[in-house]
Amino acid sequence: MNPESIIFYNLFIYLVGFVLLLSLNNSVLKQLSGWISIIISVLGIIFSSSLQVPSTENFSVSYNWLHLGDTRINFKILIDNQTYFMYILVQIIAFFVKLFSTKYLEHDDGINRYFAFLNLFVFSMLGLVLAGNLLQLYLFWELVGFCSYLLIGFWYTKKSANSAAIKAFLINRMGDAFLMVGIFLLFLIYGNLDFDAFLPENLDKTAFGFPFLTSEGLQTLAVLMVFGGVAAKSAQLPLQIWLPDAMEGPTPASALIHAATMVVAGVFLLGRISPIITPDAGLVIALIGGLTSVLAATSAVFQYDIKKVLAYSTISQLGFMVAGMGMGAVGASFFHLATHAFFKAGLFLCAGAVINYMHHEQDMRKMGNLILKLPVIFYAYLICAASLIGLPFTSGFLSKDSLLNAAVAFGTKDRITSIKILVPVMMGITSFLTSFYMIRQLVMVFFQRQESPVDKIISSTKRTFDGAIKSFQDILNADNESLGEEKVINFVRNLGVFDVSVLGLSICSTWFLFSSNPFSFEEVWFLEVFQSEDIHFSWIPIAVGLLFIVALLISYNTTYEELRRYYLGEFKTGNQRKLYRLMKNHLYIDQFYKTIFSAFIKSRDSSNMPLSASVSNENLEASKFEITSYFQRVETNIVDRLILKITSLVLSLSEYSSKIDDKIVDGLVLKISFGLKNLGDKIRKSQSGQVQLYVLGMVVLILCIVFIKIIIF
Amino acid sequence: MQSGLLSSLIILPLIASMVILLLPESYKGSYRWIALIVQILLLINLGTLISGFEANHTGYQFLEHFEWIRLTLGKTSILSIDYIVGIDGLSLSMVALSVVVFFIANISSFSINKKEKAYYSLFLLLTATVIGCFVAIDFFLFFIFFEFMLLPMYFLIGIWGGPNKAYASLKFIIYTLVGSVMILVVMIALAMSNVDEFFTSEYKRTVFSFDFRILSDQANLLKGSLLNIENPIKIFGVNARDFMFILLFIGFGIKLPMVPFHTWLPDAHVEAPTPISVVLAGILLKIGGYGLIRIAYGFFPDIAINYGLLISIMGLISILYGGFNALAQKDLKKLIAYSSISHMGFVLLGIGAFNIEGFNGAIFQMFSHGLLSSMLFLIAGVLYERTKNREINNFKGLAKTMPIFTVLVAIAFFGSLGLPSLSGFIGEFFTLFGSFQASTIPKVIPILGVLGIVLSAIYLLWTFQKMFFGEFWTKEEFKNNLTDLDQKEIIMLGVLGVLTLIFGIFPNILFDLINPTVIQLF
Repeated sequence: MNPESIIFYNLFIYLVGFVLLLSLNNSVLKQLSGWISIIISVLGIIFSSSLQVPSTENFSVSYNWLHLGDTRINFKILIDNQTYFMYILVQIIAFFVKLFSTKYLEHDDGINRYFAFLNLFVFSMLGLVLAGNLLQLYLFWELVGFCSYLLIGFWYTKKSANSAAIKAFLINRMGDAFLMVGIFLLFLIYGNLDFDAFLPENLDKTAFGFPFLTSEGLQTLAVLMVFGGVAAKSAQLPLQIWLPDAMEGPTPASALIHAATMVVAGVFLLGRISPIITPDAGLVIALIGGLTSVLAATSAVFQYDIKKVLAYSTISQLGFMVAGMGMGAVGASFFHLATHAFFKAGLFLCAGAVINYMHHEQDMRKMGNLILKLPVIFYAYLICAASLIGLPFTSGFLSKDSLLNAAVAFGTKDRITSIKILVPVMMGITSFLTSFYMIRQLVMVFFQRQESPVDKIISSTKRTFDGAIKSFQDILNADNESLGEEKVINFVRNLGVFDVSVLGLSICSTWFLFSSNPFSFEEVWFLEVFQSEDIHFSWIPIAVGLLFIVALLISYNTTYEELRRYYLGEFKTGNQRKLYRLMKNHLYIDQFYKTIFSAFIKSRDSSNMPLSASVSNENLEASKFEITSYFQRVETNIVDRLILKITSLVLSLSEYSSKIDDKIVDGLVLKISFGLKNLGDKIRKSQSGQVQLYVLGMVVLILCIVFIKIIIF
Repeated sequence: MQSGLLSSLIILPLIASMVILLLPESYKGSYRWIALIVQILLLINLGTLISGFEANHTGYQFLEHFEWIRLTLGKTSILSIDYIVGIDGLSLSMVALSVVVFFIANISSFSINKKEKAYYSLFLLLTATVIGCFVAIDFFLFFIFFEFMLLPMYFLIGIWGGPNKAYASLKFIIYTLVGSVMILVVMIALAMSNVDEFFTSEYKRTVFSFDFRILSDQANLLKGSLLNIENPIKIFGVNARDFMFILLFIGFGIKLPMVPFHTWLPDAHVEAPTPISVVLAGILLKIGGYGLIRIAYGFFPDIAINYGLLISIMGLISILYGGFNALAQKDLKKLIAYSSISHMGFVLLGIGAFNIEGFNGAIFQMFSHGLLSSMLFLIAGVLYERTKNREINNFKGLAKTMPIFTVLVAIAFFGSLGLPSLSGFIGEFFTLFGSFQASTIPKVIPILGVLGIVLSAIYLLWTFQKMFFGEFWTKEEFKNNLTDLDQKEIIMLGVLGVLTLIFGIFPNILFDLINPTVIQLF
């Protein structure tokens, strides 16, 4: 089969899956919908694996989509390395997520709806990576956002889920508005929207409308506008606030959409336009990426919700990738995207399994000891977490190393005092924080502790390292127990759907999928297809390792200390508490937006505000100063009143005229008619029947007529 | 092509209207079916029309030309008024939209049980006049249809409307009449300045014509006449041509409706019965846009270009003002009415760009808005029919009890807020695109216009969430009435939904029709 038809069938089965599953209403068939969509995924993977890996030449095919005058925009499929990797990646992760979901949502009434949305999402995501021009990408870009909206709000009777869904969509809409302006600008300067037409020689130097900008400045502006869209989709400053809330959706959906695939669409787009990212724009992007990663990692340290930690971690890692794209390290950034997709999806699925086990309790402080109860999940979690931290033998080690390498190269290229140095510094801090919060989570969720009574907690937290050793001993013991042959068989037999999908993803998070040498990213086949930096700083992995050890020591202690305080009911006070709250609430950025947003739409009904849920109905009367009600008042008080004034003016005028009509015109007519009547009466009197009089009258009349005729003519 | 096809589009509903009027009251049940059959015949006619239409042929097709009035003015000149109908890409798209929307509105009319005879004969009269308006190529004929449309509309709102119907219908008719007067002035001025060269040489007298083809060619302008280009005559200190253009702009702007001449629209919509709201939003507003492109720009291209900025600003104001007002509404139908104002603002923005992309986008936006606003008003009608209530706050969690309805509402809402793959996106995107590429317009206008799509997302999503998500809740008295859609409603909303999807994914179906016409305009 030629690539076109492979892609066509591949996309088509997902679309069929969407329509088919959505139209199911038989409860037996509904239960099967998970397996139906797994079959679809398997078929999809088979289809896409028969697609040839493009080596040097990109495959592209275009269909006539629309043309207006001279503007032609084609529907174009573009397959280069970037597309190909994403194409496969999305489907593999979707497969694991679907497998996981069959159990996670087995008792849910809307399971067919859920899988239908998942299929629609995979369809749109594949469309996005295949898009050969910006408009087409924008189309699928919004569609994946739409799927994300549907899946976040999947439990539509839950109010918080609805608010999160609407928030995600609206913030992405704002980003899309920027992206749209970016598209207009790029069309203005390149005269085309195809990705392969964004070349320096197509640059139209005569682009008009921006008197203060040079052509390079205009390009920077265009790229930054596109980055506005990226910032929303990939949750970068200042539009990152939707992602933590998006965790209201079903956990496997979060794994697929809000960790592994959709949120990296922004990074993907940056990679697509990387040839035209100007140095200025690149610097801004890299700085924003770095700053986001630090901020989000800091917030992750202070979260108690197991999914929120992972959400902030995702934002932070996305910041890494975005910074990488800004530095021009397309290959490294893309490599990190791929590895991150596996280990973060794995982490999310582990979290999902934990949440499922804990009966939807997401507070990590109420967990603990799960190491014995969910051993397989724990191992998988351990591998994925190691990969996120960037320990050797994992894929994360390789990608993070390559990314940090590029960052250091970028930061030290110019003088050491240039602002560029901030990027590697921020990324280093993030690496440290990443280790910190992952260990914290590991301890809180899985490690042993005796929670009650309180004094035992104190005693256990006192011997912190004993606890660690004991935990690891437990792992070893658990391992030993299952080493017998029967035990292994039993172990495999007892593996649930959860375990299989989580293990699958954690295996994908190890090094051998990407490189033969676990210690050097230079042998990664992945990077060979992208151009990469020649400089290699060998001290980076060592530095990361040291940071990890420091983080391990501190985090382990503080986490037990934190838990102890929690069980004792001690709270922080004063400035410490303020700082703590500031971090936990992500610098109150969210609240800031809420305040602005509620300025716009509090007026209609405060109870169901999408962004702020806690405003009561009583505020309805007090909300007279919001902008919409202002507009409404303009409408009723000015526009409509003006019309009313005019109308009443016309009415009073017409009243006058009617009076005039009555008194004067009609009066005149009446006078005349009365006059005529009187005349008639007089004439009647004159008609006495005397013929002579008649004749006389006629003669007088004729004379009169003759006289008049003579006078006039 | 003197096939009579276009005339049949006008005459069929006219005849049916008469037939219904003459049928005795005992045939009451058959009125709706007669009307429906006529609408189906129109659909079939439309099919032949589209299949016979040559997209790449410039100029009018399916022309029918009959002499009508030859008014001798003094000894030297003749006023010629003809019956000329014909279509090009622009009018075909509008005719197609009208036929489809009238068909849907006719099905929706089945729920009207009051004075059916009068209703259906007026409804068919409206059908004839609206279609006539789009196919007429004689200004006089156009104006007759344009004016005549008001009569059925006035009664349809005034008799079958809601509690405040008298006020609403009067407001509607006064506004539109003011607009008509302005158009009338321009019509007379135009006709008195343009000469039909061909007949002039034939009759040896100056022949003033209302023919669109003559009016749009500036070579036909009589030297020294009111509207000549070389020697501008001033009216109130303004060049006559500028003056006339502004009159047209306001006249059609009222119809569009353009802020600040829009206040008739929310009132008319709130009071009008569902099918009439559908027709009003779906088609009648489009006559404003059609008139602006065909007449205001078509006959005054030299003037129009100078007013591109003004038109764009008015468009931008409509977009934002309509959007903010929609945010503040509590009544679903009023919200949709304001969203209509906002969406028609994009049409103005596209027209103001005066380039091919902008015009194409504006026409596409009109078409798409015709489909989507029809859907939205049908949705409001579905709720109103069940509960006699449209307050947004009275409904919560409808998704649970009305799942099919929810899916169709989602299509309409997401289509309106411009989700790609539904038709609303293409229209909005290309109007903004055109505006952005236009050299005469500062970039800040389309950039602010992009805010409009954010606004529409806010008010529509918010409404969607409030009415359809969460736990099911409504007032006790409505609870038992809120059943899911019946077959009739599924057909109406389904047809429109599928059309939205088709035009959203394959916009070229429409662009290929209108593109040659638009190119010819420039």
